[in-house]
Amino acid sequence: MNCIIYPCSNDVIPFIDYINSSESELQIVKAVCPIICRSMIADDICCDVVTDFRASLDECDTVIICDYKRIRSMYNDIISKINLSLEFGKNVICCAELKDDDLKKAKGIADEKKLKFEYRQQWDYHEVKCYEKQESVIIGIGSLFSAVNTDKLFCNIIKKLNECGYKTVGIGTNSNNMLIDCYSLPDKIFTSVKRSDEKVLYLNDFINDVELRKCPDIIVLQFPRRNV
Amino acid sequence: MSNFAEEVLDGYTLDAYTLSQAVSVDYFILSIPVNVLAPDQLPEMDTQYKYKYNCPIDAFAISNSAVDTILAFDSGYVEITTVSNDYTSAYKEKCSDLEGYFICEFNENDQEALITDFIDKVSSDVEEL
Repeated sequence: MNCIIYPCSNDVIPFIDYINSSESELQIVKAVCPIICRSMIADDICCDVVTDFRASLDECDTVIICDYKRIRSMYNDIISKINLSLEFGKNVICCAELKDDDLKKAKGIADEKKLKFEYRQQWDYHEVKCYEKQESVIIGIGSLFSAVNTDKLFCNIIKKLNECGYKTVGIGTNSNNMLIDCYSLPDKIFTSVKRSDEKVLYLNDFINDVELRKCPDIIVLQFPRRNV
Repeated sequence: MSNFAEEVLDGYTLDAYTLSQAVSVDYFILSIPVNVLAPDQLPEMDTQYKYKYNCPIDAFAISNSAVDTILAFDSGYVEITTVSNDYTSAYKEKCSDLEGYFICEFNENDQEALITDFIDKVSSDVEEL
């Protein structure tokens, strides 16, 4: 499937590299960014970087809307790009968080036009009974400062371990992880669950659930924000 | 640029602590900017991790980013700038005397070596059991 990704930033480059170098059914042919950001994109990106979203739609069948640190400042733009993509008959994979109304509307248009609208993994409250130790080997990746991005390290380690024949799954802090068949830690656990012991139980349950679904040999776990 | 004060309020590193309580980490990699810690401070960082998160550091990954430390202390902002890979190679060279840690850069060859170190470490842990 030929895809375009929007909005492209340096933060998303490790994921584009991973997708284009793996045997994923997705192939990113163009990364689209707002004109104002073009000069900031690193040169070592493995696909064309363009600024004309509308023209790029002609060259793809799927549009990936990736998550971006400052996504809230361009929320309306993101919504208009999703609507435009659906209007032109393109499938949409959305890693950015949408308001309930906008999500419902986008899903409605996609259903109506028989298009695929894939939304980021969601997590809902449910009863958690007990703490269980994981059976997979766990590699933790932390960062001294949250500004030091560990996504590249995260993607490369998963790729190398898979190449070595270990079934590896990643759980990271970035919503774009779903693009590389990995999971992102649900922010809701950190922000909405009040008691610390409950947070630990929910996180433990989330990781065990991923383990149960994927049966990996190794879990690569990216620690949130800064550690020290 | 991120506000240092907001970062501190952003959980006081509790999110990382909470996660560390939910799992048992077998191999831990800490990513560090190139100019913040002197090589002889790395074992101290390992001690902090042992006591704080109950997961000792096995490897340090040197990022080709540098923090403007003067600005950070003066204004409360942490600004990261990208530096040449020569700086990370020089820092790695300085760390060559450190024993017990794997030191790597963010490049392809080093990451293959990192995987080898991880497999050796986990295999020896299994043998000990």
